[in-house]
Amino acid sequence: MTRVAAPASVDATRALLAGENYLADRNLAVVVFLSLKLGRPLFLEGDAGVGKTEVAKVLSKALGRRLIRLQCYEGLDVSSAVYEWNYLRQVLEVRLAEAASERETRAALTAEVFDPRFLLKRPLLQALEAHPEGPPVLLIDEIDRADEPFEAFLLEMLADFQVSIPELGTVRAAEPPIVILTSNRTREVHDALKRRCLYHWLDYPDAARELAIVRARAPEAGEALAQQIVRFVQGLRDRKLFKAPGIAESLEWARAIVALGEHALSIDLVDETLGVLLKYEEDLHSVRQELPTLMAFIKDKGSAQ
Amino acid sequence: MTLAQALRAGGVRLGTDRLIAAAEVLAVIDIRVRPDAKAGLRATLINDPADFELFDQLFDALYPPSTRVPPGSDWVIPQSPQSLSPPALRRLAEALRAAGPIHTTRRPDEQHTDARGTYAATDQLVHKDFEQMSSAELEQARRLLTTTPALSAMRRTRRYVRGPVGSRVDVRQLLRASASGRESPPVRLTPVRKPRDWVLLIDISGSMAVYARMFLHFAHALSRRMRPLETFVFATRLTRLTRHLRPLDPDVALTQSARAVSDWDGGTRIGACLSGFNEQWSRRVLARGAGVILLTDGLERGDANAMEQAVSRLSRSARALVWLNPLERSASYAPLAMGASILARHATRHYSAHNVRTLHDLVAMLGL
Repeated sequence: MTRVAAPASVDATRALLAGENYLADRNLAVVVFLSLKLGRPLFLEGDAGVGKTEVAKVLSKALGRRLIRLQCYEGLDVSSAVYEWNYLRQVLEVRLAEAASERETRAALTAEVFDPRFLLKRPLLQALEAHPEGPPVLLIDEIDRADEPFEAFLLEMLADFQVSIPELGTVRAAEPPIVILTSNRTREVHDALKRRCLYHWLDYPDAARELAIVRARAPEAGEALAQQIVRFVQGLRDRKLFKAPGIAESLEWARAIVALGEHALSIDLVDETLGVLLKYEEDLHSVRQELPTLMAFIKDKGSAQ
Repeated sequence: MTLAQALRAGGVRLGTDRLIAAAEVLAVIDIRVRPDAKAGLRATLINDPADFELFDQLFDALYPPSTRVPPGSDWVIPQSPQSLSPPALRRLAEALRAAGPIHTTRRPDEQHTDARGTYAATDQLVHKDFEQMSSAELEQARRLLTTTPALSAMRRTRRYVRGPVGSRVDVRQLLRASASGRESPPVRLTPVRKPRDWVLLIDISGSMAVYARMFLHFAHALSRRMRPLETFVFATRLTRLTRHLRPLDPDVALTQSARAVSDWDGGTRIGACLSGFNEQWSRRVLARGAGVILLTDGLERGDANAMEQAVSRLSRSARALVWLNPLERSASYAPLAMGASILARHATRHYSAHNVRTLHDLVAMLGL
């Protein structure tokens, strides 16, 4: 695979992302460019469904790099994030050595058992390895779900891009990977970690950009439907909802409506498919009650244009 | 750097490392494109969306859009904070003040004569307005409250340590032992237990005036003893006090809190405030099995339906909803008022809370 060079300017970065149908606003393009240029991790925070994870996916695709994803959760530890020994094979090896009753010294056996052959590489270790197509994109997803001990560990790893395995020694990245961390902000991530990163808050897009995104990502919806959907969703975001729909939901909704063979929004259709957009009963209830007003709002705007 | 100084003055914690990072950014970015320079600097200097507004205003004030920024590292215009234009200073001040006017600390009312309590000495002390206390009394009250044990409920985390019992075996340790020829019983992995996170929601409306201050002191004492404690107060609008309660000295902490709150003694809109909490904060502070302690008398002036919805959402989001009601001190009390009946229906438990003793008992009781 030919190695795609990192973009040379902010505009090139934007074009690169747009090439994969990711329409970034200027500020996001700036931080992505800087992160690539300076080799600093990028810390993306924002509500669910605004396209944080997508940045990493698109970047890996556009640059032709491998995407290595680490989904965080509470209790995430070294054995599932960095490496683990393949115990079963190790035990087998020990038994074989015993059966062969070779006069091996214990030390030799230990060395044999803790051989890279028996090492299971988890995402962080994989990210440090050399890849022919260039350093991979390491996506550390939903870091806010991990606990403080893991954060502290990550701090160390992101500073030097190396991890140490007691039995083998230190593994150091030949080339540092492109690191993207995302957070839904269910908890404040420690300052020390944020400090090492470029920080960006990803917001819901404005109507024009959302329309462009729906057009690009769900072209099957068609122009009229895309416009209606964006207007409706933007209307919803202005309301007081427990969880406002994200871009992911808009796209999902567009695809759902197309799958039903419809081409325009009607009250009944919206009512039937509202579950795609809203995931809380209270939100569904309050929006259903005001559907006629919301639909009228769409129509008004539609005819005004 | 002027910008950095001004940001620090505005309360943003900035280390030298971030300034170095900012310099790196300026070296690689085309700084003649103003929005790019702004976005780049923001990504290195700021890491909390709450500070964005401050940054944007300062940046615009220091480097007005018309300014031609000379290329090179000395582009930061030597301009001391004092030379900021008055409107810029005013905007900085406004941004710092967040929303709402500064409310001067409420003048202490005439001493509340309170014959309601039962624990004579303690009760008297606790019900006395904190602002009127002599330093000796304050010390005494503080000692009473700081003997508050940390909320004891623990939760299991998914992190494991080696221990004598547990359902998982530490295979790695086992293998290392067997490879080195030592025969040892399998080492078990035990889940780590951590104190549960708690969120305090304190009603500071007029009807709660006698208690609000005491509860704030309670909140301060608790937050000194246990790390993850979020505190919010509300009457007509919700204010987060977690940060304001952080200083060690209770006087400083309470003065800061008083200044941050604009609706002391206001009316009560429990429903609206709780639904505000649900929307803005619940996902952030109620993750990881946190419990909610709600201190209110449940006298709601707003819409019953809205309150019902907000309370039921809150009780479903939280691991437990504990309602502390000062009115519950009398045995004949029954939650008949509209708001109180809603709370009674949705709360996991409800207790009385009107003096130091009941608060202490509560903390000991909460073995959820």
